[in-house]
Amino acid sequence: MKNWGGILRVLGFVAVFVTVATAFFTFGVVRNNIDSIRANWRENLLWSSSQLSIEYLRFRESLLGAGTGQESFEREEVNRRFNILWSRVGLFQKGRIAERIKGFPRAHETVEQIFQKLKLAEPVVVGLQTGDNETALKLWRDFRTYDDLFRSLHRIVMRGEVQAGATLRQGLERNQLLLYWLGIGAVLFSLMLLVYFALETRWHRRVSQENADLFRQAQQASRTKSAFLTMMSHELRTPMNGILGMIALAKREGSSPQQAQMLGIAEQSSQQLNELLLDIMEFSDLETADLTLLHKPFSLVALCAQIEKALIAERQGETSGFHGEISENCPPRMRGDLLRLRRALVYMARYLAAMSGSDVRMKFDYQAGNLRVSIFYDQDRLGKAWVPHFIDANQSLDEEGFAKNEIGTEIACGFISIMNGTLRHHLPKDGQNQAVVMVQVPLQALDGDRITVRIETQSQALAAICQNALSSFPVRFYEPTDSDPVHTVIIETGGRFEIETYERLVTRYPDANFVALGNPGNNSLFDGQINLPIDKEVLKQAAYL
Amino acid sequence: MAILSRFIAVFLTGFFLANQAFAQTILIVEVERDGKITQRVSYSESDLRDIGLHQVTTENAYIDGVKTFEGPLLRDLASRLGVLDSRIAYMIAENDYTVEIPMTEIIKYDVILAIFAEGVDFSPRDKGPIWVIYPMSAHKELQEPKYNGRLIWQLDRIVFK
Repeated sequence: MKNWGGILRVLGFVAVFVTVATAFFTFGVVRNNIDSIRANWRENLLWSSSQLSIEYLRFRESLLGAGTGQESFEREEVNRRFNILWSRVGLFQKGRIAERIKGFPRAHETVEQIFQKLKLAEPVVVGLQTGDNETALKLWRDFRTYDDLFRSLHRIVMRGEVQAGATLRQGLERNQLLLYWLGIGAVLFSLMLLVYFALETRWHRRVSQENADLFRQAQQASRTKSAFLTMMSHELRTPMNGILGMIALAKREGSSPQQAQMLGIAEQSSQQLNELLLDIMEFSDLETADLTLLHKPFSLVALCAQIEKALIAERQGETSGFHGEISENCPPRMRGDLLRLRRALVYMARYLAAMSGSDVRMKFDYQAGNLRVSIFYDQDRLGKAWVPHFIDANQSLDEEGFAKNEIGTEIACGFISIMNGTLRHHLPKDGQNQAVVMVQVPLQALDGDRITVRIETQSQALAAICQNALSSFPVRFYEPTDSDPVHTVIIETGGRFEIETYERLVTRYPDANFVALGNPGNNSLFDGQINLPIDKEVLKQAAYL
Repeated sequence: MAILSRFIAVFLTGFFLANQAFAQTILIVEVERDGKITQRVSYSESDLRDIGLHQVTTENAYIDGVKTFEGPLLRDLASRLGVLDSRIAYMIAENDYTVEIPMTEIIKYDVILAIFAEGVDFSPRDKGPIWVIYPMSAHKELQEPKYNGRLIWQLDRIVFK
C-alpha cells in the first residue's frame, strides 16, 4: 500500500511537471509564430522595389521629354526625378530594409550596381542644360540599358519575399503539427492526472477508513476496560463497606488493647483499600468522560479540615505535616464539588510531601470567582529545576509512574481539568527554597453569611434538639413562606419517611446537601450522616458549616 | 581695390542666393471644405522654423539605429491654420505618393514635419526637404507595419479635409 502511494505520487508530480512544461512550450511556440509573422511583414520590400521601378520609369520619361523638347520636361524636372530615383535606391542601403535585402541572393550586389550607374550618370544629369536635347536623348538611351538591372532587382525581391513567405508558412505548419501533438499529449497527461487523483483519493479514503476503524476499536476496548474496572471497583466496595461496618461494630463491643490496635489497623487498611477502589472507579470515569460533578454548598473551613484529616491519617496520626491557611477575602461558603476538590488537593499535597520529604502548606484565596489554592513545599531535596510530573506536559505517566502510586495526581489533574481549573508551578525565588503549585478553580461564592437549613423529622422534639445544636452556628432555619434556596436538608432516617421525604425534597433542592439523622437505609443517597445523640462537631462537618 | 570690390560682389551674390533658398517654398498646405479649397498657404523652411521646432528621437525601418529628428509638430501647424477639427490630412510627396493620416493621430502623437536629422537638413536625395516622422520608439503601438507607410518623405503638399 505504501509503495503504491509513492508511485502514484511520483506519477502525479511527473504529470504536473509535463503539463506545465507543455503549457510553457506551447506559449513559446505561439509567441515565436507571432514574432515571425510580424518580422516578415514589418517592411514591405515589394512596395519599395515597385517604387524604385516606377521612379526609374518616371526619370526616363523626363529624359525622353527633355530630349524631344517638351516644355514640361526641363532641366529642373530631370534633376528632380533623378533625385527621387536616387532616394529610392538609398532605401535599399539603410535601415532594416537594407538588412533584409542582404538575405536575398544577389540583391545587395544588384542595388550596388544600380547605385554605381547613378553615380556615373550624375555629372551629366546635373550638368544638363535646358534645350540640350541631344544629351538628354543620349542619357535616355544610356539608361535604357539599365532596364534589366531594375527588372532583375524587382524579380529578386519578389522571389525573396515569396521564399520568405514559404519559409514562414512551413514554420507555421511545423509548429501547428507540433502543437497538435502537444495538445494530444496534454490531454493524455490530463487524463493521467485525473486517474492519479482518483486513485490517490480512493487510497486516502481507504486509509482514513482503516484509521477510523482502528480508532473505534481502540475506543471500544478502552470503554470496555473502563466499564470493567468501574464495575469491579463498585462490586468490591460493597463487601468492603460490610467489612468496615463489622470492624466498627467490633470496636464498639469492647476489646482488649491489643485487639483494639489490630482492629484499628484493619479499619485503616480497609479505608485505604476503599479509597483505592474509588480511585480506580474515578480514573475510569475520567477516561470515558462519564464523571458528573456535584454542585453543592460547602465551607472552606470544612474543606481545610478534611484535607488535614486525610493527610494526618496518612502519616499515622502525626499532627505535623500540614498547615492550612484561609485568607480573609475567602467567602465562608461556596458551591462546587467538595469531594473531588478535596481529593485533588489531598493527592497533590500527598505527592509533594512524599517527593520533597517536607511539610506542605496550603493557602486559600478567593479572587474574581476563582478559588486559588497555593501548595507550598520545600524543594531543597529535589533540586532547583524540579517540576512535578503533573505540571510538566512533557512528562506523561508511564508504567513506572503507576507503580510509584502517582495515579492519584493523574486523577487530581483530571478533576481540576473537569472543573475548568488550571495548574501552575513556580520555582523558588533566589535565596528561598519554597516552590509553589498553584491550583485555580472557578467556584461560586454563596450569598450571605448564613446558610439555610431545613430539618425534616417525624418528631418535633428531635427537630428541636437539632435546632438547638445548630443554634450556635451562623444558620437560619427554613420557614414554609421562604423563597430563599435551602443549602442543607437534614432528614430523620428510617422506613418510608426517609425515602419519601428524600424523593420529595431532592427534586425541589437538587443542589442542597442531604444529611441523614441516624443510620440511613440507603447510604448512597446522603452527603453526610449524624448519629444520635448529636455531636456538635460531627453536625458541623456534616452540614458543611 | 578691384579685389575688394570683387569680394564684396561675390559675398552679396552668395548672401542673396542663400536668402533666396531660405525663402523658397518647400511645402504647400491646403484646407478643403465641402470639396472646395478654402485656404492655401505656402511655407518656406523659415516659416516652418517659426512654428517652433520639436525634437523626436526614434528609430524606424529606413534608418540605421536611433536618430534625432527636428521639425514643427504637425499638430501645431494644424492649430495655426485652425483646422484641428479636420477629419483627415492628405500628405502628398513630390512623386505624388499619397497617404492619409487621421487627425486623431496627429493630435494624439507628436508627429513632426522633420526638416533636420541629427542637426543637418535633409538633401532631396535623402528624403528631403521634409520627412514625416512618428515617435515610434516612444509608442509600441506605432511599431506596426502600417505606420511605416505613413513615414512619407519628400513631402510636397498637405491637404486638410
